[in-house]
Amino acid sequence: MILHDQDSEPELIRRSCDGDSFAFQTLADRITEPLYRCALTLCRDHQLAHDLVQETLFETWRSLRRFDGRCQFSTWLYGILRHRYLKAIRRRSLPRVEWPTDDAKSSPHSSSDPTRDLQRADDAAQVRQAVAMLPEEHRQVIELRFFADASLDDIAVTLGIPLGTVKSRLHNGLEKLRHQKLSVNLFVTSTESSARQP
Amino acid sequence: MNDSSTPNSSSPCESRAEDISLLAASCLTTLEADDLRCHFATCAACRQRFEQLQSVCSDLRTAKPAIEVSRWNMNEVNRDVPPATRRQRAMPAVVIAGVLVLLSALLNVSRRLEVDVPHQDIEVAHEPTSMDSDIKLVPLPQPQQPTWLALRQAAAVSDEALDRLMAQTSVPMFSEPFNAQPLWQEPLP
Repeated sequence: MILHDQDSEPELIRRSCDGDSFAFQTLADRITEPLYRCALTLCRDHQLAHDLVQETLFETWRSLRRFDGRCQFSTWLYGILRHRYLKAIRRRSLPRVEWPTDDAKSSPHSSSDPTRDLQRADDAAQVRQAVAMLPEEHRQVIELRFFADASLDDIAVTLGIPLGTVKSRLHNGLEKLRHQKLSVNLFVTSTESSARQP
Repeated sequence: MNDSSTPNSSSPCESRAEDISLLAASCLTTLEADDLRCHFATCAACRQRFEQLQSVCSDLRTAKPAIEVSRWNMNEVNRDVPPATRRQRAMPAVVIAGVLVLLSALLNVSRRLEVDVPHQDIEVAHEPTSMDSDIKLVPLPQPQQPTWLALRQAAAVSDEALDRLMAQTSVPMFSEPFNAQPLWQEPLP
């Protein structure tokens, strides 16, 4: 059977429930990276994040028929991931590591200008460092939203907190980052930017 | 609009602060976003806060780390765990349902047979046993009876034909009810 990327998620889920492993492989290919980023945000350990993703996808394949469609498929997956994560941290203490430093060549925003790429990589590293300095509860929400592209519902399920709490933590985290940026006067005001333009 | 969200050019409206952050993080619905943008038209402080938060969010999106994720291999899982499909799961239920339908059909048929066929006292032939081996048993000839069709045809022809047919029978038909002779019986002295 030939599957195309434009196959809708509900259709792929239905086929997977019928035992179509190709359909589930397509689903897994789509969700693996966001899941890995989410796992990395939670556990801060690359090897454990990899294991968590593997276990989550395996568990999803086994219990896919229990998915009743009352929530988004990704939200359901994040729930399984959280469950696996909680089981994992009961077994061992986790080391705290930082997100990988961008090589200027491997950065998704790389351009043809190496100097500009280096500057951009440096800025990105500073932003990640600023995020890492945030309190744990704010850091997790910010990373899940901006580094893992998780929706607010996904974040709520992943962290096991109410949606309102996710919103307030996201707001507080962004406000802290804004104040940090204000303190070093990195903002370019609209009047300045309009004055710079010819 | 409540008092705290009254447009003010000097300080941003605190009741709108969370919504502004959520808008910068692209977490508001279109309706909520439009409502907030209308507010920005009259509140410079909120607009400025939104621009600053937008800049922060833009930085965060740019700082999204590039990671390499190994592809999850479905084939390895297939070897370990054969997928139990819905069809396979439903198979026992289908088999049970089929057996139940078959049983109910058989019950219906047997009930109909009980209604249609009246109970008859049929003498079962006694099988000779080792105890009866010294007794000489003689099978009796079956009485010959004309069929109802033959009787009808004879009656249709003439009364004499009917009488002739009746005379051929060895057992009286209408005087006494017919008692079937046992197949095995002791010989007469």
